[in-house]
Amino acid sequence: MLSLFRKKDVNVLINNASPLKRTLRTWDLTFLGIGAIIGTGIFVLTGKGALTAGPALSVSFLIAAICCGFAGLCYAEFASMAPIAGSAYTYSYIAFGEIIAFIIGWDLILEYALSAATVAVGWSGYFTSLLDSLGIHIPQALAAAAGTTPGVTSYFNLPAFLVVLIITWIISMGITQTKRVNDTMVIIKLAVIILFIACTVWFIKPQNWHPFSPYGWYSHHNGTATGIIPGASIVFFSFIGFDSVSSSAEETINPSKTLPRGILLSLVVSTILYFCMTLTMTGVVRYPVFQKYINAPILAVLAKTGQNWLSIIVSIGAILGMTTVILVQLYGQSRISYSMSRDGLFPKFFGQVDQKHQTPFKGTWFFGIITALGAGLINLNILSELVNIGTLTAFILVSAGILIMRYTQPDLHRGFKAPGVPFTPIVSIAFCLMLVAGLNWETWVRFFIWLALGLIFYFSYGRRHSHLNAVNQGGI
Amino acid sequence: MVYQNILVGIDGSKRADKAFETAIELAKAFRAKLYLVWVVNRDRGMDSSFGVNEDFYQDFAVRTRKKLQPYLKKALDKENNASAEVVVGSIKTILAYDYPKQHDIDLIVLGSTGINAVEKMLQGSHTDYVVRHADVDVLVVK
Repeated sequence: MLSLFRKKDVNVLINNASPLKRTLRTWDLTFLGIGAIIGTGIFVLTGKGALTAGPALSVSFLIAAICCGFAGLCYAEFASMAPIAGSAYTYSYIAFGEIIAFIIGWDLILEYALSAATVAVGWSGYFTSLLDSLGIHIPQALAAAAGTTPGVTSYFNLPAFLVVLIITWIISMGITQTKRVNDTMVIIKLAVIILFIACTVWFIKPQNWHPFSPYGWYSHHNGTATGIIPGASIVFFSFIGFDSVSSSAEETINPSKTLPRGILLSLVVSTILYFCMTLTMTGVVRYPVFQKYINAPILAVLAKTGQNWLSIIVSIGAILGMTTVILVQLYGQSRISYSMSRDGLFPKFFGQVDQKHQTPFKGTWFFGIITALGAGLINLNILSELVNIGTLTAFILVSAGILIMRYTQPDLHRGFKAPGVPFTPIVSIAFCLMLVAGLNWETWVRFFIWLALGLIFYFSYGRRHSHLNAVNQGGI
Repeated sequence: MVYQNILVGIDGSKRADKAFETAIELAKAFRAKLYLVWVVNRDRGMDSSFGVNEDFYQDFAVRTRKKLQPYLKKALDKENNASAEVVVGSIKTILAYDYPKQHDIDLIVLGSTGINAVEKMLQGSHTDYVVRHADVDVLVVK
């Protein structure tokens, strides 16, 4: 049984490392964080969120942000223990052993696929609307997955399917986007959000905010979880990426002070933006109206205010921003499956690096096609729930790991120590568990099926093919 | 003006190989030290959650180190004072700023990049960037 928790030797990994320069200050970190957070969740999931929590969705954002804050501190310590070891997956392999590493890797594969699919569905929502305003109409049956909007017959989300395939092709050719393109996209997204708030805030009718919280904290309505906490479980996605601040501990000047400030400030700024945005949206449009605009909720507001010009600008901004997010997510997915294959936990197929393009070509296409099918066939109601459970689980494991490592290996190098241990990791775990609890039970079932499949795969394949087998046999 | 520390960017492409040949001859003529640099492009624009990309870059660097050895051997065979290094980072900033500063480089030799429209839009030409931003002389071998 012990071999389930067999570990990699940390010294092997440190061989190739070079120390990083400490250059980042609080403001650098804050901008880094805002840039990573202001993603596309706000463009895609506010509709589903508003249906779940009503105007109180703004409070949901606060709760999700608090959860991110605590999880971010824990992840910062985790990342600073392994600045050179590589990914969270590889580090788990060193610290917690093979089976935990496998579960985290398996989780992240699902996570990247689903977030790419979720964003692609939103992309498709804004794209079809943009085409509409240009007079090109895509048949409804091919513009959304089955069951997206009640009463509307739809089968397949063709634009989402195609955009994922095109981006898969770009990644498989070894093309990446530069930081400058990425920064430009962040500015575009920020500008779109601020422009949107500035132009629509005048149309708010306070009576739309009554009742403010139609479903309370947590309730069930027509068989689905509703209320502020389930809303927070959904919009958690809007904060994904905040851990980029955490992982820069080794490049930060005076991390024990700077890092918590950076995490806090970037979360505060983005939460204020999200808060204003949600209040504006639910103030202009009564929340049930979002039902019809589930894939592109912002357009519900602009249809109401009649600002057609603005909806074109918002659509273009959202489409540009989302394209690069899909790119990054699919890239991450091909890399995590590469790492697992390299360690023998996944078939070699996924780890083969193409000579010409220097990319894991086959693995990229394999998961690209599956993600594209997911984006085409699964509706946003299901995607929006599934997308968070993987990340939340990964954060629970990381926070628990911090707690355990403080007792088992207190002398280990830590570039950053999370303040308030054991309080911080326990609160982090509690918040993550609360958000998991806010998801529908169908989501848990789907997730446990995924996990069970993973464990079957691990015991029938990964365990026997793990490269640690060869290492260990040498020792015996 | 005699160049003393010459940097040549290598990426395994034919154009870069041509630049490498030129750089060897130049280094020999000037009796300069030749720095062979192969950058594994790690762009912050592609960072994703949980640092999942890092493993790939590190493995890439290990593979690249092996591929760089024949170049170093060839340079040393021609009686050049040469060193070879694989660096993980943004190709543009390393070739234009970081490496030249650290090693007192006074000439950068690069091959002209042949990239298509999609690549140009997303990442731009590395050579163009270095030509525009480097503080020292840049020679683009066509």
